[in-house]
Amino acid sequence: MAGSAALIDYLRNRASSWIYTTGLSPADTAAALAAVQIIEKGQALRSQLWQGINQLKTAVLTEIPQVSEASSDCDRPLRLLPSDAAILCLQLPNPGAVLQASQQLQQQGMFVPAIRPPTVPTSRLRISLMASHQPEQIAALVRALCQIQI
Amino acid sequence: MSPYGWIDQALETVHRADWYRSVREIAGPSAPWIELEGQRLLNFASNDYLGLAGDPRLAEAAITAIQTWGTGTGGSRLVSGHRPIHQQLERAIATWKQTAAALVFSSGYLANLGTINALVGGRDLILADVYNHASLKQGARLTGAKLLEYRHKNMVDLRAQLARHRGEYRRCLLLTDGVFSMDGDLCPLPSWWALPPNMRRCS
Ligand SMILES: Cc1ncc(COP(=O)(O)O)c(C=O)c1O
Repeated sequence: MAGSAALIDYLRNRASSWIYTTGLSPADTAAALAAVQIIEKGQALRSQLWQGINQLKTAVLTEIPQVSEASSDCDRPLRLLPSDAAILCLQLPNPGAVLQASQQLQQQGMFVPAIRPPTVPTSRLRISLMASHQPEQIAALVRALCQIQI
Repeated sequence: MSPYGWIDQALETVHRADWYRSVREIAGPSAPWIELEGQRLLNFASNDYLGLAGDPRLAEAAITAIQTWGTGTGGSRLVSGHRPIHQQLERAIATWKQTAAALVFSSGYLANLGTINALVGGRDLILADVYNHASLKQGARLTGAKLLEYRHKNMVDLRAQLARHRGEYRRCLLLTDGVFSMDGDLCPLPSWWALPPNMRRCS
């Protein structure tokens, strides 16, 4: 939690989930510090991640015939939900369909979880990207998504 | 009958609703390629967005910290668990976020739970986005404050509920995720600052 000196001082005195628990382990703390230092040093990881996001978004909308944008009114089974981050969701008509789609992807070597109600209001495949994904790995995912049959 | 028989019944209900979930084992570190229950798969299910969880620089920092301070801190931060590395991390976060200070909780879930409950209580109002993460929802419920949800990212609904209910309560907390983790969309935070100053609060 980041904030004013007064807020942080107040939380140290009033936030039970910080006060009544063992201090974060040295290993976790040091790893987090190293991560912050790496993130602060450069944009490289973030721009790699965004290249992947843009590659996937474009390919999903232009190369996969079953997909439409959430705002469009055409009747395709997969809908790309609005996103501005490394999480892209393809909405499917029902929980059964999304489970099937996720299993079909796994048969093709892709781990894409099916997220269903009550976790979310509508069933969807939830794709999350990492900066370390290579362009050809994202292309392989797009090819696998093209093969989904529901 | 066992006094704990209700647990089996409750599990049965979860199964019947098709809501049953269980863990699946991944063999190695967080990475684009994983081995899930023996099958090699490309991983599109990780929140390690920058790919740092498997980074050797982080591993090395963690190993050095273990050699210096051991694996556990042996107490709460206020009693005997505070180490120089905590101070360093909190300073680094504050500098990065351009704030005067920062506090590191043991997880995001705990940070949200603890902060919300420190800020508001029974005499207060919470206005929360209906798509907020479970930690914000649960945190809000635990406060005992009046909890009202507004439609997802809907400033019109938020303002209307604020205008209608704000006067009845002592403090008001507006509660939203920055990045909504289920859809990946963003809260339009800048437009929040256009709210009248007496209605501002942010998480
Ligand atoms: C939006 C959001 N907030 C909070 C959390 C909880 O954070 P943590 O995993 O560090 O407890 C998560 C998921 O993990 C999340 O997606």
